[in-house]
Amino acid sequence: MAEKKNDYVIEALKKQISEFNEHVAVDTVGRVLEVGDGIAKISGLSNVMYSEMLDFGAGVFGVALNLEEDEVGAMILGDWLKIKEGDVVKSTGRVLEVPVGENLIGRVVNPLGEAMDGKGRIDSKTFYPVEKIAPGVITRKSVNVPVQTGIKAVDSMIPIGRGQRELIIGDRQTGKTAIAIDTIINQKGKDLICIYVAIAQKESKIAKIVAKLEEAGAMEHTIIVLAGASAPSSLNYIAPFAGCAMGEYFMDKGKDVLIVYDDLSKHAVSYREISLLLRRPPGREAYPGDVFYLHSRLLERSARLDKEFGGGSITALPIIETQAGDISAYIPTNVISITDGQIFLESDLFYQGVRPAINVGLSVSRVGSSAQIKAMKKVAGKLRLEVAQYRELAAFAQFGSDLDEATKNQLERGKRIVEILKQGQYVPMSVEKQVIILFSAIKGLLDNVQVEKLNEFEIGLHNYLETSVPEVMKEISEKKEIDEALEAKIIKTVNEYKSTVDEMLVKTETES
Amino acid sequence: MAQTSTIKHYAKALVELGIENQCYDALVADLVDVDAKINENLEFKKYLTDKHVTFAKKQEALKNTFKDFVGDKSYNFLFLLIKEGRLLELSSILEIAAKTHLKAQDLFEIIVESVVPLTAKQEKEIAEKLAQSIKQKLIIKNIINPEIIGGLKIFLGDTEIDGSIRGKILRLKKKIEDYE
Repeated sequence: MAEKKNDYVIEALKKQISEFNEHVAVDTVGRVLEVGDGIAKISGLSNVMYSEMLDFGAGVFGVALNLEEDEVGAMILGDWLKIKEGDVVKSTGRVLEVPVGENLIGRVVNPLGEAMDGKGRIDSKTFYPVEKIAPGVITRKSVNVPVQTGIKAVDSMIPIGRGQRELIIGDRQTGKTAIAIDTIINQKGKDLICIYVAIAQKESKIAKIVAKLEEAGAMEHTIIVLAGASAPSSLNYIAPFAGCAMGEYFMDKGKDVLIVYDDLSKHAVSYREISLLLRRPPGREAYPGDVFYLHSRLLERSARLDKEFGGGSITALPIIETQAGDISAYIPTNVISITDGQIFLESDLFYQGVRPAINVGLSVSRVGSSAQIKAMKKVAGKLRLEVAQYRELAAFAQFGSDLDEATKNQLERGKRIVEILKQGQYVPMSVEKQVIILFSAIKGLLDNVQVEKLNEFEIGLHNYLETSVPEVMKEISEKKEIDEALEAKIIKTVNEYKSTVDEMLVKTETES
Repeated sequence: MAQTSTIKHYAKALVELGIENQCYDALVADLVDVDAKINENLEFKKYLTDKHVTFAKKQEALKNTFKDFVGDKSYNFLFLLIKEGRLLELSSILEIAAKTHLKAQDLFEIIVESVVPLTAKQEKEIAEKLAQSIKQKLIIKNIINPEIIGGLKIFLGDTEIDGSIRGKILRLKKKIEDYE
């Protein structure tokens, strides 16, 4: 055995000796003229490509961003303190790319695809370019399959379809991330791969999110791309593009992907920093002129592909943080105009206890309604109207005390609908349950339940449905619509349950 | 870097003037000499770039220092730089001028790094080999760099041809690191 091994070595050596030739490396090189704040100016490097990776040596890489007559402006990914003036920079001939593939699922990675969770190296053979042209019209298909967020207010009134881009916008601390995380949790056991891209987020916040997702068993279908608050702005800048590239891999495989970009305001700030350091001229709010293109080219990569082209999809949930509810600032208006609708969260509502604090009037979904199941569509139309009327009346009713019976009833109904739309964090709800409770609300079945007891009533009703009459929910999930027979069945069931919980009902005057 | 273009203009003017009057070598030799001397003596450099000192005084100081060692044209060029406040950029002007001059003569300078000085025969062979691929006349500048351990490292403008032992070791190192 040992002899055989020796023979093999000798053979290999012989071959090498007989075919020995000198290998030389030919590279395009440049020299660092100036370095600082994550940006380097490099002389030479003729024929370098835009977005090409540059090797600064010592394991530090950069990306060529400014191609000028006799110098190249590059951003440095990683520790720029290791780079000195006069260092040799080599071009690599590859545009910036990130590892993609199945083994990223369940991991926390940085925008370059390196593990950040201490669970060992991620070996990926496949790489995707960070910047890629979005799919064209021919390859696309209109949105008609829903993404169930598990949030009553969203799934009913602001539905999201696969391939859609729905903006989540609001002030700080209004529950923007919570909506995104609930949506990810709700995909457990479904066929949607989730990617959460954290851009300049506190790492403690991300650690909390990861723990919560693990607890809910949602990390099994989730990739977290983390560019922390202390990461250089170059990493923050490429993070959403890297996340998108990871998603595109699955889309090309015909799978459905959900990406959350948390948040794009910080992304714009990082890009502004890089642009200003590269001495690009500043524009409005000191953002560079191409900040619109920055977000439009990113969000345009979300698509639903036609069956012929694999049939995969990328749904994007970008998040934008506003300052004091100002949605007419530069970046918010840009992203609102790019996306297919927005979920607007308000701090006033949040402090009133309406959580999720969705402002139904300002929130829209331009394409999602065609992705709703019929049963939900039937409920949603009426619901939206009721909520809008309630808002109007509630504002009006503050001035007068004596109201006619019809108005009073409408106000009572509205109160109950608002109460029903409230939902706790990390408790997404299945679409069947949503349909039943919302159906009961708009049909007036809850009108004689005490507003304060509605939450308790809802939980009880769902338990009752699960244990005593499971066929109702089964029927909805199979038929996906509510016909007359089913309608009668739901009304009967809810009334049955109501008769068991007398203490939750409103005491009528004749009784007392 | 708006200044680079002005520097380029000075350099180009210098080269064209030198070629027209056939005194380029003398002119550049003078200026390189002056540049080195000024950089050696920082007090003098400070004096020449001081805004409070009049132009005439600076002129006089320069003439007193270099006397007849420097030609008229070189003096004129230096005076111009002083007047425009660009004396500090002399070194970069000369650097660019050297490149422009080579280009004007349709020559291409390549830098060859080696551990021991190249023999004339070696230089000729390298020049012949490389001239075939870039189809231009070459002049070779040999730099002694013991760090490369052995072999040659050639810079053709922005292209680096690394046949040095050090480069080979580094490539081997990278291969081992990537293997894991």
